[in-house]
Amino acid sequence: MLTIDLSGSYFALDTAFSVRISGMNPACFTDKIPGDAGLGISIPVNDINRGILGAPERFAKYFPAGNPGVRFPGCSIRFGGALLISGSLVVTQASNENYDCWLQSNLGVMGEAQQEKDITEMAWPTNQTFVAKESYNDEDDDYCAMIIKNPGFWDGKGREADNVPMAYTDENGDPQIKLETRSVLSGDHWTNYAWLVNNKLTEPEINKKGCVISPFLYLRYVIRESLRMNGWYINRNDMTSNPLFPSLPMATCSQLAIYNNVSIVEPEFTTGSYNLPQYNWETNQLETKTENIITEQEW
Amino acid sequence: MSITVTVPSGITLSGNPVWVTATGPAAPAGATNYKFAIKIESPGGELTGAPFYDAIPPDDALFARFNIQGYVDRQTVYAFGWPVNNICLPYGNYTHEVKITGGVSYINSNGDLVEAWNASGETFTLINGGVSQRQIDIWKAATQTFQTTYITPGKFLTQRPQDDYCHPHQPVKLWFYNDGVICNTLRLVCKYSDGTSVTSNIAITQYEHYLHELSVNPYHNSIDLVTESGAVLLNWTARLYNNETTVSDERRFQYDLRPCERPFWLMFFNSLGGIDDVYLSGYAVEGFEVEGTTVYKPAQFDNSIFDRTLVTPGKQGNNAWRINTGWKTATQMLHLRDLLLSREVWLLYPNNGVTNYYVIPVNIGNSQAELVDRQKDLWAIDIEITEAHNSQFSFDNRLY
Repeated sequence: MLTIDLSGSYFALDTAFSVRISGMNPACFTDKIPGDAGLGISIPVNDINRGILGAPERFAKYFPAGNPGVRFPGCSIRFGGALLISGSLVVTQASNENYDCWLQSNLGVMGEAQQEKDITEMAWPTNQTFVAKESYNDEDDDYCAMIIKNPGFWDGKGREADNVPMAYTDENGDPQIKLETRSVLSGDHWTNYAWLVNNKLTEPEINKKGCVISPFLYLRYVIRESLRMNGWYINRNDMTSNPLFPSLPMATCSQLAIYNNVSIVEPEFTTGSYNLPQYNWETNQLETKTENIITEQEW
Repeated sequence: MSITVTVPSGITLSGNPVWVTATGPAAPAGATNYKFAIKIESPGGELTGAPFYDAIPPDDALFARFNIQGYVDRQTVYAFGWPVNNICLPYGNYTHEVKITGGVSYINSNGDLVEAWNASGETFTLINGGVSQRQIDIWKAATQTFQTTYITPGKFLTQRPQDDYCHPHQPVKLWFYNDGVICNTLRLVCKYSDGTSVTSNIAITQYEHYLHELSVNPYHNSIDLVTESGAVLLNWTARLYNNETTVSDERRFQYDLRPCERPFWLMFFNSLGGIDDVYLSGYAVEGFEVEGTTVYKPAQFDNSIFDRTLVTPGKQGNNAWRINTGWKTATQMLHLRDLLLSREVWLLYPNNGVTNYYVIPVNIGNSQAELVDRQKDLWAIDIEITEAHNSQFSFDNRLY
């Protein structure tokens, strides 16, 4: 027997009541998160149903042009007690005879709430403490610090100077270095860290000039937290490096991380006075101008 | 955290709502989306897709009630012993066990999902079948159940009336569920027209927690229907014993000795999990229903007198019968309600010489039958039956 209930209150339905349940696998979509839907739900207006949904006459004010309908969360459709679909009942039209509705599954509700939103807009935790380790793994850590060679990290940042090393590939495909006018920090990055990001994390040399430390969030963590923040929890995650499940096809994806171009290392600048000789064209005399400049920086 | 789960006691019919209740503690501080959950497992593997999970929020009294009929009701392929070679046939697959484990689920104050399950679950047994809502309400008012009405008192699983009239060669079936007491004797007490009686104790083997099919017609139990002195067996009783201790209730049957040229029997899955038999002693009209489509095929230059332009590419047909029940008593007519509702029906169709019977799966058509008119003394109806096969080929009756 097909039943619809709203938080345990059962609707009184026609004996010929039916509903069309449409299933959508969200894995088949890249631009949206569609959910299952129960379509063509027509609930008769009677004393029992009016007590649950309210008088149909009052719905008129909720249906101005463009309004998608009134939502009632906590609705479920069951057959013989077995749950077929649950979510929010959306009443799109109400007349003296029927409430015309459809049921949006909980997944569809979440998909609609998150549509066209950037993942960075979610309430990710802030001010986290970075833990420097020799190695990271997806089971114990939320992020990793893969060592990556990035000669261009400091390009366009800070003062430039001549004869700063620049990496290129010659016509034979061999890596070469030439000297160019580039950011001073690029030169420091080469000198101290050979352009490596996340290098020497557990060594005392970490505070040299040009240091770049970029924690990369594990993809597994991002997926888990994105869903958790929307009230969904992963039951089984095949993206695991757990040695108990080496043969799972997604196991190799456990090492995937999301790259970013942000360094969490903040330089601390020391400023001081600098006497800068300057020629005054009005007085035709050489003068000394004192300016404050950055004299030292500690990483 | 653990919750207390209460499952139906004893054997339960899977076609009716199967209620499982749960009581438990209040939600922890800071928890949201607090629900009582149940896990439905099939220890014997009969339920495809098990285990199932369901969760509903408890009410203010920390009580939740689940209807799990949709999870535990299953489609089973039924059969019965035909021809009658074994008096007692056990069936272990017509019942199935279900295990219910309770638990709680909620989102804690850290936003993490917490699920906690009880260490062990409760198990109970189900039989396919059901009773009407009116019967359920009567049982509830009298604090009775299927277990206390049929299983505990040892009743056979049938709604057929006492003194049911049967054909002398009819496969008369009674179904019995062993709920702990094993029976080793089927006792038939047969009464003859000269006032004598014969008691036959037939040794049988039964298994605990199995459904058993018993063929109780004296004809199939090697009992003379006519004695040497010419006395005719008129009626008999059937009962199960464990040594000399009665286990089941007693059922009485009568022979319908009126001549019938072509007796038909309908076997059907009844509401209580067994298979009943009904004797159709009236006239029969045998028909054949055909349906098909016709398409037009343009004439070709080289067509002969044998070619056609209207072609029937798909034609299918099935046998149909309209069989009269023959005169029956009021209680026999009311028993036909179970037949008319049954979704698994078989016609035992006699061959030309009425020396053998074919088993034909059939469907009973929709009807608005007048079963009993209280102004009359005997009643009969026509039953519309169609074969449960649709085929473009015919069946060769001559082979059987």
